[in-house]
Amino acid sequence: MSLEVVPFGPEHLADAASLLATSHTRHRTIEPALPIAYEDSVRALEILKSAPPVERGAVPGADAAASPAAGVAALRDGRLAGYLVAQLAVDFYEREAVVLPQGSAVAEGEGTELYRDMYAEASRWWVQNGYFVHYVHHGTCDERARHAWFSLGFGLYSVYNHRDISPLAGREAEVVIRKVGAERLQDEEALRTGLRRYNASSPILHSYIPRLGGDGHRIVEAERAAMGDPAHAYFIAYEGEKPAGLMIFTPPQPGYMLTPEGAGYLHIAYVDESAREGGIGTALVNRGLAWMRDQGYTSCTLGYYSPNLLGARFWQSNGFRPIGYCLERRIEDRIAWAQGAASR
Amino acid sequence: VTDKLNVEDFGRSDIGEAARLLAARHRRDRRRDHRLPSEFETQEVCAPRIEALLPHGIGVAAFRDRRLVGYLISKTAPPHEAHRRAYVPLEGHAIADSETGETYRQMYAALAPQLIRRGLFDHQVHIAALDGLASDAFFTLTFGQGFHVAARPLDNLARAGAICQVRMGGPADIDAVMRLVVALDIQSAEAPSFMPAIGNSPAFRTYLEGALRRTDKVFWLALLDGHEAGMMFAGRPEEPGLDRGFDSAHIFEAIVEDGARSRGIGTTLFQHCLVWARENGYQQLSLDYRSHNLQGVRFWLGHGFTPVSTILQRRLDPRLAWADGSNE
Repeated sequence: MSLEVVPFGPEHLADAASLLATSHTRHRTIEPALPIAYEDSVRALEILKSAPPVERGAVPGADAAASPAAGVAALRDGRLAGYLVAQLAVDFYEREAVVLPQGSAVAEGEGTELYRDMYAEASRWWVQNGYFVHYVHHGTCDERARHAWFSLGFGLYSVYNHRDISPLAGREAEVVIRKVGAERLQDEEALRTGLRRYNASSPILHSYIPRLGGDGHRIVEAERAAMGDPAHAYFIAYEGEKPAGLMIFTPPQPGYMLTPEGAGYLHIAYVDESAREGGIGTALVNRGLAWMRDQGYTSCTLGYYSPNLLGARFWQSNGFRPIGYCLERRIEDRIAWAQGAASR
Repeated sequence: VTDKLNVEDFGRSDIGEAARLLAARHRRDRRRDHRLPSEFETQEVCAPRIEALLPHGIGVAAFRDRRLVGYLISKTAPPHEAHRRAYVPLEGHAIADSETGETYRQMYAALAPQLIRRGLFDHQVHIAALDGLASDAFFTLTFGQGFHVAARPLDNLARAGAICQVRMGGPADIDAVMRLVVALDIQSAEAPSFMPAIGNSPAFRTYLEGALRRTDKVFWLALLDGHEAGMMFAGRPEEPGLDRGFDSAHIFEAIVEDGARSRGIGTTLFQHCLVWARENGYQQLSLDYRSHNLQGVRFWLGHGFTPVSTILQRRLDPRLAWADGSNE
């Protein structure tokens, strides 16, 4: 049977939506927490269209909000057997190609090899355009995808988790927890800085790029606005007057198709190093879960970086169950020029 | 396991216990894959291998209740080497049978900052192909597969290769060999391998010139329309490892030029390697290939190779050298 891998275009959208719906239905038999909505190819088409593909060869814009996309369709004997489409973004001053959960699917009879063939084609374009950092999201139940991406040099970057909304059983610290607004922006910023420093520590090892000038100002203003939004809840734990922990609860991430129906999102969780292991984290989570119940959410989702030793232990021991993975591969940027001319 | 794990710098006094752990791990690996060499099942044989890592290695040791339960030692590239990387070889790590992958995670957490301080942002760990515990642990630390070392017995191929002229290379073929090495570099730079082709050093040419003269190495060259269009370079490995012994001939380089592919030339070259290995008393053939080399993986697995070991790798953002949170 002949396999042809071609640029993904609008003409592939309808068949891609059918593949996505079928694949999602299959995954839901293993992980029933996944939302039922995307078993419907009409809904699958909507979520695919929300990230429309762009022409191959067009240089994508650097504005993450515009989120252009580029990818491939795999045709076996003329029929769509799989597709792989990445959103192109600039984050933390890197150019990234991000394959969301809806950004790839393969037909049931296909193996890991099809992912590898599609990535070979799609990644050529990404790298030629300077996207050296590649992320792929998929459900934990998709072992075929995990094997394929692992074999392509991808390692586990973050884990997306789900839990019911009942209180955690652990001991709570006796600290003051305040639900805060923008008047506590300074405390929130200090704790976020602590979190970013923690994420730069081993073995997470994410570079901490200072936000300069306008970028920094825009981020702070966006944060100020979010702190005043009643759909978001910012909780800060205080030891005396010292801010010791922060948790931010929000509506689910828009367009993230692994989010179970009725789930809210624990977006940021951090306890200062000097205050850890005393129950502050448990107290903050329980305060947030209570807020979620009041808001009508029925479950909670969150993500943590996979190499985060403390976080992984805390969330796993408190009943959060992985339902999604994000894998990462970083391409050495010398490939931009080192393609053989230097060898001759 | 409930006692707290303490991770400290690896010292010479840890070699004996580390060798005991390594021998035990190798016995476990051999139960899963009997092709692995048997000689590393004893503490006495393992100890010198660990000791040899120390002059240029950086390592950590994990203790539980003052008992060594794991170690992780990385070789470090010399500062002048173009590809600066930290590499934990097969003998560079082991954990006690009672430990979990969490012990690997904690040891890596302690080791990684020392590597970064030396400018090493590419981290590699070599594990037995069927060591699922180590594979899972490093996968969760954002390591992906990089290379496989694979082996096969010397039985005949099921398929015939191309009908083309193949000859053994000699010192006069150095320019043709270098041209094919460059062609391999260029193929390796393509998607999805993306391995930078930064050029070969004069020392590498000197090494190949020497190899072309040696009797324990062989260069098979395939001729197409009068010029060398493919090559396999095989022979006795430089040193035995925990994944292959001296009874295994190793294929060091294998290349068929782009325009000559899919004609069976690779199969014909491989057939010559098989016969050569048999005639020279070897028991199996081994080689390494990149796990993201689509054509290479298909070719080698299709010719009866199965992985015996795997090199996992993680690439860090080198901006970590200054962007560690202390500058804002």
